[in-house]
Amino acid sequence: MNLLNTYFKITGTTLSQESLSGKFRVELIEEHPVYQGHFPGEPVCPGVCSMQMVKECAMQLCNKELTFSYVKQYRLLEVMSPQKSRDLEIDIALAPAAEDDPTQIYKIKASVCTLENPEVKYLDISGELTPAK
Amino acid sequence: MREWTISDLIPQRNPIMMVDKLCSASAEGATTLLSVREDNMFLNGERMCEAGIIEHMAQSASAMEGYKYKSQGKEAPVGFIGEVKKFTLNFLPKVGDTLSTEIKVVSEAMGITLISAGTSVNGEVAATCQMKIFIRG
Repeated sequence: MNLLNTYFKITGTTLSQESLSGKFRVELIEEHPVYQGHFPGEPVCPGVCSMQMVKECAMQLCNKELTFSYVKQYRLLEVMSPQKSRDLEIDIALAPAAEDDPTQIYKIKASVCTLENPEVKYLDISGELTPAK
Repeated sequence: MREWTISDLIPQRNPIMMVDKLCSASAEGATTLLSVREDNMFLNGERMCEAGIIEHMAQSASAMEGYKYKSQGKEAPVGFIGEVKKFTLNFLPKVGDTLSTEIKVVSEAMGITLISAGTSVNGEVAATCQMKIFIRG
């Protein structure tokens, strides 16, 4: 499943040069077919799609295919929808889980808020991402 | 146990229906099945991505709640994932696999259901997690 440019598009980035962290400004695409089923007549972002969107932004940071091999905690604090919260900012920090780790697992901490109201956090997630072999 | 069509038990519709069948349901938990078909929206090539497993787990819990509501003569409620904790992935299922999921109710109060979920393929545990689901009845 690839959500970049079908479910959301990246409209801007502020990336840190020296570390694997950055902010992504994204726009949700209302026309994505998932909203026909989630839910009929009431489009709401599936929490798992938001999680995938965060992961796909993280993939841009490290330029690798990634899988959430562990999610310590993923909190969905507000209901997101393409109407209510179209323009979002995703704040991501990646760090190698261990020095000289041959599996190259990253630890991730990320959060999402709307551009309109950065005070309101929509979700946050902490866990581990494993690159595809 | 009375058999319902899955669309009577969960509010999700295509392309994001992630449970085929509710096999058992009680106050303590439920078991469900999902076949990974080629048109599943969570596929990455041959493999289902981890988001698909989590959605399947959440909808399994939703089907369990739906069964409870239907048994009381009410429409199935809409459930939202509030929190996922300690999701541990062992492997990603592939096309042709059947996911077999067991939901255990940890606690239930004021529209918030806390569950633990385990999803297996042919007896091998693919993933486990804990989840908080908000039910809007």
